[in-house]
Parts: sequence; C-alpha cells; structure tokens
Amino acid sequence: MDVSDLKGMLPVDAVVVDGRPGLKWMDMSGVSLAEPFFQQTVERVKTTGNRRRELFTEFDVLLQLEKHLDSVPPTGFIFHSSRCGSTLVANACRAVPNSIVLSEANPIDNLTARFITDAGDVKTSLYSVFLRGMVQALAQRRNGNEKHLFIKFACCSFAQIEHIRRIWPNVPWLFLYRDPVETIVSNLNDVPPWLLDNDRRVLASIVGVSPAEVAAMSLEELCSRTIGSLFSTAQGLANANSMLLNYTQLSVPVISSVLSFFKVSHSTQELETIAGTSRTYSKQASGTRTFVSDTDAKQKLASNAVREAAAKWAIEPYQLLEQRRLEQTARCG
Amino acid sequence: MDTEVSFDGNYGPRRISVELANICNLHCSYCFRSDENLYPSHAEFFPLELLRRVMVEARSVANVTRINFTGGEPTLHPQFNETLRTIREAGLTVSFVTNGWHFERVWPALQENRAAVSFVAFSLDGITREDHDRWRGNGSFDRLVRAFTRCYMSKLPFGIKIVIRRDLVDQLEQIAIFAARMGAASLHFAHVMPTSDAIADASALSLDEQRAAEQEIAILARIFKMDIGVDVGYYNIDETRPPCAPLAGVSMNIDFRGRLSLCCNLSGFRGAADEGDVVADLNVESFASAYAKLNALAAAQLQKRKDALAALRTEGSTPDIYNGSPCLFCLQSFGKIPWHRSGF
Repeated sequence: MDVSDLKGMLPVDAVVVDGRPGLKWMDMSGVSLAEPFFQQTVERVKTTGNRRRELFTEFDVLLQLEKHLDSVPPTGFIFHSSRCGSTLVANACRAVPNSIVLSEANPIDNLTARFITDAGDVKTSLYSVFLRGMVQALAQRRNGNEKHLFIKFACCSFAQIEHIRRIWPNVPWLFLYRDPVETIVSNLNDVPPWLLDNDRRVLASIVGVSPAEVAAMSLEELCSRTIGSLFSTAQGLANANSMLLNYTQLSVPVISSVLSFFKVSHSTQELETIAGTSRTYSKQASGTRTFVSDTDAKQKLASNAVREAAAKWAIEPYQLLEQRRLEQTARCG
Repeated sequence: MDTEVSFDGNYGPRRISVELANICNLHCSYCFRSDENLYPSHAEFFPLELLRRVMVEARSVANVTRINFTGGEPTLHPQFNETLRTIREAGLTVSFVTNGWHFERVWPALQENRAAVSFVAFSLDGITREDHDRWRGNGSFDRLVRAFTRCYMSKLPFGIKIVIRRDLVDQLEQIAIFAARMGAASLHFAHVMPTSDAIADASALSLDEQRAAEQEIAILARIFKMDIGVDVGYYNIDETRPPCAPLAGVSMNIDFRGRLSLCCNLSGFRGAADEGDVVADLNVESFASAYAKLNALAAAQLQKRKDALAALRTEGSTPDIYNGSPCLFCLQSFGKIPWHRSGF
C-alpha cells in the first residue's frame, strides 16, 4: 500500500487483528466532524449515503504519512473525570471558526490505552511516536483553512497525562471534574463502556490494583476509585499550563475564559454561538434537547452505596483538587 | 502479546550470494571479513563470464531464482551495470547489500535494470548522522538517507541491516521507528559475529542480553508491517527444521574467487583457521557437481548440530550461545574462530 492510497481517509479506530495492532481507515472526504463525539460522525458516515472505502493498515504508515501531511498542531487538550460537562466545552470549541475538535476519538484513546496494556513489552517512546502520528493524521487540514485543534480525550486517558505532556509539553490542558457523588450516580444511571471494559488492565492501572480485583469490585467502588485516582492525578500535576474547572462553574463567560486559556481569540458573535451550544444538551448530535444542570436530581438519586463509595475513595481527592483549583484561581487573581 | 522469538520457516527464494568484489571502501572494525579479503594488494572482481555460466547452471540444477550480491562492497565492481543486465537478461532477479556510499553512481544502472532488481539492503550503524558516521565516515549517513529516498520515491523495495552492537541495544525501538519513517520494507538485525575475544567483549552481547534483544525485536515485529527479524547470530535450538537458509539448502555462497561455499557469513572470516565450508572451485568444476557436494556438507552440518544439541540434552545442559546460535555453531565447527575454546 502506498501512502497516496490514504488520500481523503482518516484513521477511525485502532484495533488488534490477529494479535497485530493496526488502524482502520475510512474515506472521510467532505465529512465535517460535526457530532459531539468522533465515533458519532463515523457512524453517521457509515449509515448514510454511499458505502465509504475502508482500509486496514499497520502503524508504520503513520510514520510515513508525517512527511506528506499538512496538519494543525494541537491548540488545547480537554481531559475530564466523566459526566462533568466536558462535551459542552468541546462543543463550544467546535463553534470556534476554523477549528477541528477530536472528541473521544477511538484511535487516539485506544492508542493511549496501550501505554498501559503494553507497558513492559515496548518502551513508551514507540507509542508516543505513533500517538503523535495519529493526531497528525486526524488533524489534517482537509479544507485548507483550519487553525485550531482541540482534543477531548476519554476520561481514562487522563491517567496517561504524563506521557501526553511529554509529546506535547507546551499544549495547555484543561481538567474538568464534578462532585463525585453526582459523577457516580450519572455513571451508574447509564453505565459507560469504560466501566464495563473486559480488558481490565486499564482500570486496574488507574486504580492501582490487579485486573482480578477490578473484576470483583462493585460498579460504585470501581467508579469511585477511578475518579478518585483521576482527581489525585490532576491535583498532583496541575501547573501553570493547566486549568482546573468544576462542573458547577460552567457558564458562557467561563467557557470564554477556557478559550482564552487555550489562546484562542473569539468575537462577540462567536461567543453567542458558543452560548447557543451551551444551552443545548451536549451529547445529543442533533442539538435539540435543552441542557439543564442536574446537580439536585443526581444528589437525590444517590444511594447509600454510592455515598459510601464516594466517601471512601473519592471525596478527599476531590476536596484536595478543589483546594488546588481555588489556589490556582487566587494566584490568577 | 507474543514475546517469543520464533523462526517461521520461511527461508526466502532459492538464491546464491555472490561476492562481487573483494574490496570495500569502508573499514568497520566489527566487520567479520578478513583484511586479507577486503584490503588485499589488488582488487578482485567476480568474473562476468563465470556469473553467466553459474546462473544458467544454478537455475537448471538448483532452481535458483535470485542472485544476491555481497562483497566487499558490490557497487565497486567496475561492471556493476553489466552484472545487473546479465541477470535481467537471464530472467532472474537480483538483490544486493551495500553501504550506500556509491549509490548515486549506480542509480542509473538500477533504473536501467529495474525489472530485475528486487531489493536493496543497506547497512546502517546508527540512526543519527553522528552515530552512523562515527563508524562509516563523514557524509555516509547523508548518502544513505538520499539512497533511501531514491528507493522510496521510485518504489524500489529496500531494507536496512544493522548489527546489534552493545552500544545500540538500547535503541532497537528507535531504529525501528527510523526505518519505518524512511519507508523501509524490512529491518534485519544481526548479532555481532565475534572475530576475537576483544571484539566479543567490546561489542557482542551476552546470551541473556541477546535473548532480551531478540524478545524486543519479536515485539517490534508484531507491531510493524515492515518485516523485522534477526538474520544472523540468533539463538535457535528448535530441531524440527533447519535453522537457516544455507542448512535448508535454500541459499549458498560463491566467493569473489569463484568458490562455492555454504554461507556468506562464514566466507573470508577474519582470523579463520580453516575453509571446510568451501566445497568447490567453480572455475574448474561444474555447478552441478559442486552443488551435490554442498548439499552433502549442509546435511552433515545439520546432523552434527543435532548430535551436539542431543549430547547437551543428555548431559542436562542448556546450550550456550556458541551451540544455541546456528551461526556461532558453524563458525566454531568450521574453524573460523580458533581463538574461542569450544566445548567439543
């Protein structure tokens, strides 16, 4: 296969076929990444219109593509602890003209997970090189005028922030989080794939236990320990190049400050568009459902098991993180 | 993820390695070719007439389809273009191993005979200009990268060969990344072929280090599409099939003097005390007759190794590197490394 065969194509998944890791590519010519999640766009393209060309390649091709691609370098990274408003922020970034938003794109997050699953087998530099190549492939200037690239990672990828920072040391990053009780309630109400992952090595690594111990945990405990670990990581690594943001702060002015933090200037008109996106339910592709803060509802729904798990594993890291955020805010005036 | 090194039994096309020249423009201290072979008082080049005759006979007798030029440095042959043309006209394919220094000069010849040239293997000594040129001289790395680009742009498959010296063992992953970036179709590692205790101590890996390197290479081979493996010096005590192409009767070597021998890695070995791997002088003997002798030698050598491994099993000993590696076993049993005290 020649790299010219990949013209118009984007990597849409990172998979393992017959024990060999590789990439699935799909012809995405003329397709805008308009949906709140990258995979929603992929599904739309798969299910509408003519069947698109698909290809499987090994990772090598990313290294050869580097020489041929005109790509947008990352503008800002959005990390989060799950169900805390990060999609709203990503949608606001999408409202900025000439921007590309890669929201929880499987190829990026699956590759990031390999820092954990293949740890010990391969030095991390190999997957760092592949991850950089993957982002370059996804961030191709397909229209020619793209200027900003925002990457919203899946929540578990935040555990690999140190690897990611080593690849892109100067890219500002945001960490969004929420009260742990509300986060756990939301996750139990609609259990996300990351909590049900059969390959338990990623969660085991985040929580700091064995995969067998993960398998034996209740969802309340697993969710609580995972977000507690993410809070601790954020609290430990927050610096001048990062911004901590609590769900309770989400508002149009705060989202505007996030864009400023990412060094993206925006006009009043663009801010109105952003305000429009923040008033709709962020995860719905059609954008017709109105967004309503559900803090009270989540608190009322919390079971004793949820409260106990949160108290045991997540409340303290959450409070320390809040403290860190307040210190950061005070320093910034 | 599979971390075991295994030989998949693919010995490649039936082929002859031909030492096209006895000379080399470089002088790498770890090279196993003897100085008498590489830097004699006069250069010797493989005669074109002999090549023509051997090709025809080898095709008919041994179903040989590929000629692989080695050396010395094969591109130094004054009739390099003619050798390629000869092979093309005979309907065979050709590959060669080069240090890349003279690649620009031979490029027109490669283009002219492109239909016959199936592969070019380049020797690399480091993935930075500084590292590579330390061994191969200033300007060598730039010439090599230019050659890679030439091949890549014209879709001529090329590979990279690199000896795993001690100073490179931590860079296997970076070497694979470099090779993939260059667009190489293959990356073949070789362990140092020791020519003295001093070379073995300075550059060669211990058995444990070799096994660790081979495991890392096996992992890289699973990740990259590029064909990655260990060509020379690997540890393999699987007796269910021959451990290498020469012992499988799939490849053979003809030295620059026109003598048929078992393997290019034994030929002209620095400090060798014996030439038991040489079976016939093709200048005076037909290929058919020489080939029969070679097959007998390969079978005998294969049996000799089986017997040695069986003896170790009976003793309850694990084969050391000189028995576990087919290459080192042959070096030892053919008297190529008399400085090494063998166990048998």
